[in-house]
Amino acid sequence: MNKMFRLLVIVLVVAVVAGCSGGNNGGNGTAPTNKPGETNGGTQSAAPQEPVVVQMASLYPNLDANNPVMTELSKKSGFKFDLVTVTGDRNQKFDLWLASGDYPADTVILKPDYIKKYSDAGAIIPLEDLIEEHGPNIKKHFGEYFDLLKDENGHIWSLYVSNITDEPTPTMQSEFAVSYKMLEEAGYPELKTMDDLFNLLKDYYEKHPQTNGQPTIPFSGFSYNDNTYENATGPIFTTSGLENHGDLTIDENDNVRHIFTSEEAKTYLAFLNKLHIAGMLDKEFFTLKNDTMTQRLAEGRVLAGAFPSWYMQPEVEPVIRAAGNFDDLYAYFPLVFDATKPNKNFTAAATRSNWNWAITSKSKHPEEVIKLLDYMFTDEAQILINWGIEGSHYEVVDGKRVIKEEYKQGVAANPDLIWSEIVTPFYGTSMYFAHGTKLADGDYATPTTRDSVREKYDERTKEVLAEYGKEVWADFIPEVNFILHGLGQLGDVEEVRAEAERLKQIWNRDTAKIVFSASEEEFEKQWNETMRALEKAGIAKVEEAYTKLWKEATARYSHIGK
Amino acid sequence: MNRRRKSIRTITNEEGIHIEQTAKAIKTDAGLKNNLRKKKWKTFAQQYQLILMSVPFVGILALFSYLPLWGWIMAFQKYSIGRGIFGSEFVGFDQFVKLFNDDWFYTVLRNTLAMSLMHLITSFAGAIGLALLLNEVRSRLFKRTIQTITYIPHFVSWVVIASIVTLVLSPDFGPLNELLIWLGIVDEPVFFLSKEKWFWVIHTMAGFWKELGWSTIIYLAVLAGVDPALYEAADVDGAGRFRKMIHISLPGLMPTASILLILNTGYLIATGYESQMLLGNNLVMEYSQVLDLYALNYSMQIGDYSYGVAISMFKSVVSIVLVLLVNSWAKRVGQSTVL
Amino acid sequence: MRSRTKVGDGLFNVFNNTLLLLLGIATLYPFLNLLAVSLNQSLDTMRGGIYLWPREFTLDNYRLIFSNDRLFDSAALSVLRTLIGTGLSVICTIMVAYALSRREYMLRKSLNAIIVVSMYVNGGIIPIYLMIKNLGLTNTFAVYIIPGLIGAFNVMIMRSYFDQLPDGLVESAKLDGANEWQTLFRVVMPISLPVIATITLFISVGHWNSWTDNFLYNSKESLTLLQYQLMQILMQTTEQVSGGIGSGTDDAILNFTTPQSIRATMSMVVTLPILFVYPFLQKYFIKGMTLGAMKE
Repeated sequence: MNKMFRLLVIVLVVAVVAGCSGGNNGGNGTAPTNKPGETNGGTQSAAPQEPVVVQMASLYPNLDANNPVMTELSKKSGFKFDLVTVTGDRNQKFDLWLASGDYPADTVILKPDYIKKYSDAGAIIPLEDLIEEHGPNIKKHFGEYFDLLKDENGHIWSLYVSNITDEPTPTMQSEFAVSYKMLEEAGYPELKTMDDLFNLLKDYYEKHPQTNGQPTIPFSGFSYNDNTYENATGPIFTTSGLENHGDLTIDENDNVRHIFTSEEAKTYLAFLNKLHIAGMLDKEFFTLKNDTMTQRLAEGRVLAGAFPSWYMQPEVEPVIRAAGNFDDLYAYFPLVFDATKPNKNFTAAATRSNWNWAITSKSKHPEEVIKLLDYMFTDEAQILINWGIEGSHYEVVDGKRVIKEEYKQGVAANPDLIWSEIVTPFYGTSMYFAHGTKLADGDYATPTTRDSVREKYDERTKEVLAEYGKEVWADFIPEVNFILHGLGQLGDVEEVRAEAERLKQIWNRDTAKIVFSASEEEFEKQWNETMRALEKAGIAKVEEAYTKLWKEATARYSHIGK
Repeated sequence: MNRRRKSIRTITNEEGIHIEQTAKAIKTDAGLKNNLRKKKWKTFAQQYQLILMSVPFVGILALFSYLPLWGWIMAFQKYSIGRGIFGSEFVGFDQFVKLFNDDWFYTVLRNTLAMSLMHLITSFAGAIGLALLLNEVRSRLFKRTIQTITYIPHFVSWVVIASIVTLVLSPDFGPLNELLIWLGIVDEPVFFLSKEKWFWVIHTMAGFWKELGWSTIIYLAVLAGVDPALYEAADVDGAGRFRKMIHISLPGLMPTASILLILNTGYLIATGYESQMLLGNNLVMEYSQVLDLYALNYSMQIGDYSYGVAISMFKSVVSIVLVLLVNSWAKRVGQSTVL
Repeated sequence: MRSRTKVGDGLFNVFNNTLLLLLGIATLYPFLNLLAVSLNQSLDTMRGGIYLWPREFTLDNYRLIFSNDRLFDSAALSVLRTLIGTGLSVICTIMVAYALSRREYMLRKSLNAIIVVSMYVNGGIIPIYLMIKNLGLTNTFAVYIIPGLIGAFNVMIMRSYFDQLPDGLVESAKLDGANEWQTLFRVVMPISLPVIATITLFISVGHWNSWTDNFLYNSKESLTLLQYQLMQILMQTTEQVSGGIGSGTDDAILNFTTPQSIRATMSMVVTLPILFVYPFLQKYFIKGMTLGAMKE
């Protein structure tokens, strides 16, 4: 017992000592002394006297704050960066920051709905005056589209780059994945409509009820967060050529329609039901999660399905390629129900407003910060954050930028290399020019080009593409529909948030019942029931609210472009 | 001493001389209050050590648990983070009215209570049962090994547990279906996870598997403290294993079991949502969604903070009521109580 | 008579041991599965079919986690937190429970009520955060220790155990002239080792696994805990593949490893220390009352 006593005393002493020193442990961050006032930032890369420290929110914990690009950026822009990382449940963190005022001193990165929250609360400052004085590059970049940055009161609350590119993003691909094996056997037919797909599936399935010893699954799908988005809702837009604005779409009169009650939704669900009645729809269509879906696709049993590119490219294709089963890969076709109607589904908004940058009201030197943000709009800065440093990450060959072989190998062997080499807090946010944008020197702003995309393809893929006379999957896409802004970029309408949630819930609950109906009559019955439930839950209210929002924005921006 | 004389109180004055007074005299004694206070101070002085042992730490607990409750005001407002408490509009009981008018609220409440109750019962029976069985094992090595193994799933995250359960129950050549087909019980694979009525059972069984080992630890510790002399005496009386279990081990566990039961009843309504979300899907939504998920969807995710606080208040009230109910029932049947 | 009970006994043993063995196998499976996944190549794991053995053995997943240069620091901090936090919590819990178990204690009922009710009320993230901030506890080591100093559950368990102890024990100590401190530490504690060991286990595991306080209150790199660090790695990887930031139709960012593999490796890294500590405490589950019996 005395032994215990002694142990307890030791623990207590250690506690006191640690408690005093623990909080003061010097970290490894880049937080040098801050000398106010003195600065020489901006677009000149003159010798810095006392670099200004900018405290910025960063979304990446793995980012090495001292990597070569960050250091170079620091030198060129004349600023030093103090990063405050936010991961995990970011919205929770943003809420806490707002409530307590503990957001980083200079900049934050927020999506449009939070930009609105913060601006309402006075946590971020309007930027239009600062841009007038210190933001020449921003104005130049936007040109005639500059007013897109402003809200209804003429204020600019956050910054993002424009999306006016010369070429569409080469990594784009359509949703409908169709198995190479099936295409090969059918002689690489032209697939344009959903009926084409249905017939192709039927033929192949009759001949091959089993694949690799397991039952073939002609059509499958899943949803990432149990919200039926990927398997039931999203494809409605693509198969009817509608503009995709979340759960909403916009018709010719600028009226907002909810997708759940639309004719197009009924058409797509009827198609799924047809597959189900023919025994060709995966039983687990509404219950697969991404892990199990990937497994199923890697097994090569699924013949077709609607899968977004952000799922196929990083999660599925590498697995199949690593296993060497190139025949189990998929081609991506933009299938619709009616090939005669114009397809407006592949939209490109004029701005890349998504994770936007704002300056906080706590900032002691907003003019300096805007100069930094302005610098990011220059070609020099864009090359730095997208390509890296000449000589280390890329070199110029025949007047064109090319990624260095060694760096490419390095990243292929260890993709985490990017954090210690090239990533900045601007990565993945709305501050880097779109792929396909050309800079003043005539070369691309980012390394993602048709050629780089093609390089990543395996031989079999190139073969299949050649059969159709194409080079990349983006080639299959009909013309890009250019719009000034997406509804999602305008933020939420607060008053109808609860209704919108409820509508989603009803839809999530009922789509399976509708699709798994055993007959056409049952389908009609289930569909009508759901329509009634949706109407009761206030779908008209939601449509009205967003129509109002949309029309206001359109009126405001009517003088821009075109 | 007080019990012996009902109408006469014994009071101690400063000099420590006992003075007996009648009830009437008590009422007219001017120095009575003074004396009572002195008695309190004396007790205080006598018990200062106990006070030092407890008050500071309970104080910390109280500070961090009760002080933030000023936030409950948000339940009566239309709270906006930007405007803060003082800038947000006051709406009275509107949030609660909204809550009680929502049909879906009653569905999720039913699901929550049903699954919690099932979990409570099975985990209790299981933990006590397992503790008793483990206690009977002769080989120390075997006992310790099994005990260590059984609590491992407690540390495995629900994501992994859910994926294992999904795999086992899969209609696509999952082990359970293969077994059932092989035994001839069914002809075709059963899609367990799509049957809403089965969800509660599946969820309870998954939770049971995960938490059984960990919940047993406390009971094993208590059993280790049971006086061996009792067992020896029972041996002398010729009692068999079973009788010893029922008449010595089990009663030894009762106080702890009772307390844990009461405390866990309070959590009947606060289940979290991770496990239900991971195991559930849209097909079984009607039976898998719980109150905490409802709160997440309709308050946090859409930025309606006030609604979430109202739900939290509701949960606290229900929890405390449940605890009080079970506590008084425990008192009546002669078991250990919490309050 | 004797032989019948012997047979009955033996049968019961067989039945019992078999049941327990099956249970052990059933609960061991997740662990073995995670071990196999953590040792399997991440892309290959996504094909499914990994149960007990890795198909394509690799140490890459572990390499990823251990190559993180801040891992050692955060692990050291976690150990420090667990030691200090557990030590202080256990002592305080014992003291409070002891005081509450004394029937003559005047504050017994009220403190009891305060503790129990505290378990079921929750002020919400924002009020708690503001309070922690106003107390100056944000970005400190103390925020890991002080708010959670005593846990109501543990106090109740401990108190229930103390309530069960024979009255004679404390009375005879008092008669010998011991004050409350001495009674607690010299008389009551030594015979409460099983429960104390249990509480120690619960509290230390709680500290070791905790990361939300890190997430909410501490953003300084030097105050990062092991669990939080690993969580960050996991969350970052998950985001990049799930259409979150850094992904999208723009760049197919490949990760060194997949979320599933990271999760499995994380589980190993975090759980193994606990598995090593537990057998340590197990021996207290057997000692206990033997000392008490001798005192009686």
